[in-house]
Amino acid sequence: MMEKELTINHRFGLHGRPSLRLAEAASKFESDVEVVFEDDRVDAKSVLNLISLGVPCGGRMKIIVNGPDEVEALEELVSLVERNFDLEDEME
Amino acid sequence: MEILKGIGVSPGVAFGPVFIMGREEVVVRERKVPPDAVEDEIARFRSALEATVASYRLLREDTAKRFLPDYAAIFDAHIAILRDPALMRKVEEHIRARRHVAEHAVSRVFRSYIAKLEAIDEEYLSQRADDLRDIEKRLIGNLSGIPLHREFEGIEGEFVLVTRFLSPTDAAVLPKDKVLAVATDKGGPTGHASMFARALGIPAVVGLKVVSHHVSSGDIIVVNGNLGEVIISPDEQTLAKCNLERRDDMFVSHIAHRFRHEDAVTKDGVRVVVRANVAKAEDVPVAVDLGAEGVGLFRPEGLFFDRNQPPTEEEQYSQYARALDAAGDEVMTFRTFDVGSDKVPAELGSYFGNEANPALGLRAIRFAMKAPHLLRTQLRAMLRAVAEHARRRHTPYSNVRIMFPMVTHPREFRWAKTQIAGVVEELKASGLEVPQGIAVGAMFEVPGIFFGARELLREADFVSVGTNDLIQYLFAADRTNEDVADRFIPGHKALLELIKILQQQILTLSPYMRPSLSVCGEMASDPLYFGMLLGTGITEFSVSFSMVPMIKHTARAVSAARCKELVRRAASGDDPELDLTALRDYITSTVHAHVYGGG
Repeated sequence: MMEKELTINHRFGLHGRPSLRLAEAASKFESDVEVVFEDDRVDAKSVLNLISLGVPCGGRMKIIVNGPDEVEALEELVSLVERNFDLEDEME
Repeated sequence: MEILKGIGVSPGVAFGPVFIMGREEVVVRERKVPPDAVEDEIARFRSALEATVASYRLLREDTAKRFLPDYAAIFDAHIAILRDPALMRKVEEHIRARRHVAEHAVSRVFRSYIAKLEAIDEEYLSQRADDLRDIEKRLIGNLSGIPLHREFEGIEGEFVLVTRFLSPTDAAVLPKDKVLAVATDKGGPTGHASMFARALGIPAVVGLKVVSHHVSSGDIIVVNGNLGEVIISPDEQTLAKCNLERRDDMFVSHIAHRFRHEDAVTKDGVRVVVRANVAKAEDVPVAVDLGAEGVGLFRPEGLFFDRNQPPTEEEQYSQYARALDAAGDEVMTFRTFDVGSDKVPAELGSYFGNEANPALGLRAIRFAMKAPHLLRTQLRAMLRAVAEHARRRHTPYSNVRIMFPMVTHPREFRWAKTQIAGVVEELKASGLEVPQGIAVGAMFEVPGIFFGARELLREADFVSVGTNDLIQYLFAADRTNEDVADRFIPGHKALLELIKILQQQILTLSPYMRPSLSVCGEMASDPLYFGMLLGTGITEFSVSFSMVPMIKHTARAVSAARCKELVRRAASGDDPELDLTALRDYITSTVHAHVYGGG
C-alpha cells in the first residue's frame, strides 16, 4: 500500500471535470484506489464519490493505492493532480 | 414596479411575459417488485441507463453543432456520472436487497449524493447537485417513459425565461425564437447558462437571488442585460422607454444587417477594413455572408482541444481547404496554433515541465520552437491548402496571410519564416508549387515587443495587435477571473501609448517597407472601443464575426477625426483610465442617428 497527500489547486476545487479525469485515470489501474478527505474515504474510480467529497480549492486530500500496479498508479495520479488535471483554463 | 439588481451576462434589453421553469422534484412512490421480477427490474434499469447516456450523447452532438465543441464537453461529466460503477452498483443493490422498483432505487441513491453535495459550503461544488438532479430527472423519465425537454414546446408565443438556476441541459436547448431573455436567481458570468445566452444573443441577467420567487408566470418583466437589472411589473412610462431602447437597437441592427456588404467608409472619408475572427472552417461562410472582408484571424486551437493526439496533417488540411473555399477571393489570415501546457493534447504533455503559470509559459510560437515538427505539419497542411486553392482559381498568387502568435523576439519570427521557407522547398521537391504573395506577420500581444520593434517591423508583412492577451499581460489580470476582471482595462492610457509607439516606429520605415497594422481581439467588437481604436488611427480590424455588420455600421456613422479628438480629450485628465463618457455618447448617438439619415 502506498499513499500521498496532495493539495487541489483547481480554482473550483475537485468538481465535475477534475473528478472525471481523476476517476478515469484511476480506473486504468488494477490496484484499488481511494481518496481520503477530512472524515470521508471513497473509491476513486467513481466520479460521483469524488465529486461528493467536496474538496475545495486549496483542500488537502490523500490518495491511497493498494495492488499490483500501485507504484505506477500513484505516480500517474499524483502527476495528474499536480498538472491541475490538464484543465486549469476552464471554459469561460 | 420592483427593480432587482443582478449581473448582466449577455447584453441587450427585452421584455415580455414570464415563463417560470420549475425545477420540480421528481416524485417517486415507494413500490416493491415481486422477488421473481428482481432481475427484470435490474434489466429495465440498465436499459434506461443506456437510453439516458444516449440522450446526453445526442445533446452533446447537437450542442457541438449548434455552438462550439468546447460547449459540448460540458456533457462529458453527465455521461461519466451515468457510467459511474458506484452508481450502478448502489442502484442494483437497492433493487436486489430491498426489492425497490428501479425509479425508487434511482431516486434514493441520487438523493443521498445530492444531500451530500448540498451540504458542501462551496458554491461551485454545491451547484453540481443541479447536474445530479438533471441526470436523475432524465433517468427516471426514461424509466417511466415520460418524454423530456418538451417544456418549451407547449408555450405559445415569446416569453422571458425565469428560473432558479439554468442547467446546461436546459440552456443548450433554449429556443432562440421563443426566449426573449433569461433571468435567474443563481449563476455568475462564467456559468454555463451565461455562456449559452451570449452565444445565442439573448439578453440575460443572473445572480438575482429572488427573482423566481417574486414573479409568477404571465407577469411582465424587463430584462436589461446591459445594466444587469430586472424590472418586475414595469409601469407604462418605464415600458415605453424600454420599448424605445429595444426598438431602436433592433432598428439599428436591421439597418446594419441590410448594408452589411457595403464598404465601411467613415463620415470624413476614411476607408475602414472589417474582417472576422473565426475558430473553424464552418464559421467562414457565415462571416462572409455577414459582410466580413475576409478573415483577420483564424484560430486553429479547436483542433487541439479535448483529445489525446495532435491533429494529423490531413485533418488540418481539410479545415484549411474548406476555410479557403468559403473565403473565395477574400483575405484569409491563418494564425499558427497557440496552445500551451494548459490545453495541449495529452500526448504532448511530456514537452512541459511543471508549469506554475501556463499563460506565461511554453505556449504559442515558444512551444512551436520546442516542437518544430508540430508547426511544420501545420504549415504543410496550410500551404498545401493554399496551393490547391490557387490552382483551382487559376492564379499564381495568393490572398493568404500567415501569422505567428506571441512573438517576443525578432529571432523567433525569423525562425518561423525559415520554417515556412523549408516547407515550401519540401513541397516543391514533391512537385507542389506554392503560390507567390503569401504574407507573413506577427501578432503583437506581449507588451515588451512594442519597444525597439523596428527590426521586426521591417521583416514582417503585417502586424496584428491581439488585444485579449495584450491587455491581460499589461495589467496582469485574467478577464475570465471574476475577482480580477475589473483590472482588465481596455480603456487605459497604457494601450493608447503602446499603439502610438508602434505607429511611430512603423513611420520611421521607408513606405514600401512598412507592414500593415491591424487589431484583432474582442475589444474591437465593441462599438465604443472600436471608436477608441479608430481614434488612434487604426483602420484595419478583425472582430467577432457576429459583430461585423454592427462595426461596419458604426464606422459609417462616425467621423474618424471626431473620434481622434474625443480620444485625445479622454486621455487629457490625470486619471490613467480614460474618461470615455463623451466618446460613448458620440458613438451611441451617431450610430442611432445614422439610421434615421441624420448625424
